[in-house]
Amino acid sequence: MEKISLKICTGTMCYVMGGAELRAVLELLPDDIMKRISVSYSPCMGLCSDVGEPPYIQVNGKTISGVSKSNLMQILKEALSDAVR
Amino acid sequence: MRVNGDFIEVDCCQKNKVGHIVCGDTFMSQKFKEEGRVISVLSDGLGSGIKASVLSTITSSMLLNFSLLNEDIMDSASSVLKTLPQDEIRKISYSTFCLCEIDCFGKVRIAEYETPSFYLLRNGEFVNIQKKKIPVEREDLDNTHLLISEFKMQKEDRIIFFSDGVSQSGMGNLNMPFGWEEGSKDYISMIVSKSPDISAKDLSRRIVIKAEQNDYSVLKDDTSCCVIYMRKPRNLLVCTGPPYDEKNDGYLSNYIRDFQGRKIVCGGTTAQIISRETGRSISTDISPSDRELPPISKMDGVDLITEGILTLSKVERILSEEEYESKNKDGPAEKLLRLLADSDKITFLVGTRINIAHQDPTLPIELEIRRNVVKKIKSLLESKWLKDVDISYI
Ligand code: FES
Repeated sequence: MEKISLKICTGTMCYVMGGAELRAVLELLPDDIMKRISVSYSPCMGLCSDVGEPPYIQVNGKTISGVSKSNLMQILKEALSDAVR
Repeated sequence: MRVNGDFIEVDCCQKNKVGHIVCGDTFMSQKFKEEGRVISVLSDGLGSGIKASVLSTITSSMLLNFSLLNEDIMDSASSVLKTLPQDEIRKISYSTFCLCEIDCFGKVRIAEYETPSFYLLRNGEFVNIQKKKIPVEREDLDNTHLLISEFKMQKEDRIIFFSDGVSQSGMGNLNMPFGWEEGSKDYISMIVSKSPDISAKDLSRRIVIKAEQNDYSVLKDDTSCCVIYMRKPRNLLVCTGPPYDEKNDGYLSNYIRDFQGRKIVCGGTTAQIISRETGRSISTDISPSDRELPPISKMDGVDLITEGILTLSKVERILSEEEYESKNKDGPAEKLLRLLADSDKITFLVGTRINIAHQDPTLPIELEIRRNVVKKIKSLLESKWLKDVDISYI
């Protein structure tokens, strides 16, 4: 089964705008799911000063803005089921 | 403080007599940048608790202020000695002291009054310094005198002095019936031979902690130990913020590469600039160590990379607290603080770029915060840890 890659921006802006909490979400996930996600952190991705909405993450290289605790779950679920298919 | 290119590190560790909320010993030290002088005083007030603390505070601040006015330390010591009140019952003076002055040529003068003798540790050996006994006239006290020592401080010398809380610790125990006076020398030699580079800060702590163990963790007296250590300065560079002009990105990264000493980068964007300029990759630590702060990153050639403004603010907050018990020793702010504590000469290189293209109204504010936080850190490091700090803007 393929792993999905998740990159969380931990630049100042993203971190303050909710990125800090995304880390906590990952701690809640059961081990067998976490095994299928390779998590990494990145310094400021350089997107925060634009009109966009921090915090930013990248799932399998695709950038997603305005991620919150609840929609991170959703995003991961979708990515995981895509990976199975 | 630097003397002839060498750095003088002064630190003191204190612990209170068990059950007391204040320390009856007072330590004060000040460096005078312009004159290149360092003056340090340790005074022990009679008894313990508030009264002792007030007495020793008065004594040491008088000594420091007199010496500040460029009075000869012998004159200041004897004037203070003449004015010290005496205890009605015990007929002894209210406080004792050790005053140490080092001038810009490394000349040391020490005036001691009724305190355990200072030690001079040179090349792993304790050096005996001939002391001059100077009588001081006092009607109510017989046989009052100061002990004056003079010598030239050499590189890697350590001067160690302490209150009797250290020398009398363990008194009455089977293995040290008369206290720790002699044993302390062996202990100090042992530590210094094991870690020849040990900082004044760490050595003073080790000595006090050992004294506490001698008393089975129940200190019978206020215990202070001061260490003065002359050594080659340890340099530290802290870069934060991208340079004002993009053209200087290369200059910044060369500056970091060529800097002799340890290097810290505070700020993701700054780190990315350096990564781009040098072609070295950044990896971000997966194990976040502090919930309040973004994690640290790693890159070859840089000792520590942290996020910028939040981390620096936390460093400033911790520095301004009186006592700080850290819960996570490996947090980014704590790591940064440890590097700061371990350095003598600290240079902040603050980048001042405002990204006009983005028209982001928050950026100039961030720049202001960055500047102010760095300024505050500088003044705290200078006043609390007696560090030599410079700020340059790029
Ligand atoms: S802080 Fe996340 S993109 Fe800048």
